[in-house]
Amino acid sequence: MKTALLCASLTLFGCGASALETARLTVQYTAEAGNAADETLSPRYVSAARDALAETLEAGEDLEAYHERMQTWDGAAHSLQALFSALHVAQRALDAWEAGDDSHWLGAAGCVVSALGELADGLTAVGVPIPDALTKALETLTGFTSAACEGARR
Amino acid sequence: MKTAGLILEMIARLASVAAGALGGREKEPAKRVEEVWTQNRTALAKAEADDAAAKALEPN
Repeated sequence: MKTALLCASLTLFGCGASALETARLTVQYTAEAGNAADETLSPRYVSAARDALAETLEAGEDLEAYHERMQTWDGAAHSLQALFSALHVAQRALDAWEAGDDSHWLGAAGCVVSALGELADGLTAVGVPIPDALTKALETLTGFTSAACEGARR
Repeated sequence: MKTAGLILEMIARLASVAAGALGGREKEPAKRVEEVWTQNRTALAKAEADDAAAKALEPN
């Protein structure tokens, strides 16, 4: 529902005065999606790490073997951290926009879109279900940057 | 002319629905990232797991 309303706003209001507020809401919803992914992933990561450590000890192997077992999970964790960082950068870009400088927003939004895509891949690789909020955030943010790129090309 | 009028009316109605639906949201300021996602729990879990593995698997 939130996604549909945001898309409607982008279509109807374009790059008017409410663009900043729409961007703020989009970042909020994306952060909520990231938080949901974090809630889903963290206990599964803990469980996978315990299993990997137990297997490594039983096999009499070393730390390198443990990290090899955890490689895919670490990939997912890394992509989540990338989204976490990208969102904080986007927040700073929004603050600058509010202060009159919107030059950083598109780049920051692009980084968030990229991080969202990598996170979706990372979660799929470890068999963790992708929260609906995450899929919808990706669709919404992609639409936002596409609309802005369309405007720039005119 | 009639068609243009109908289209304009439709857009106005859509805008009013969207504005009304967003009305509650617009009165509340959007939350900041740090209010919504306070810490990366997976990153903390990874750090702890790596530490535990290093201690358990360090050569004697």
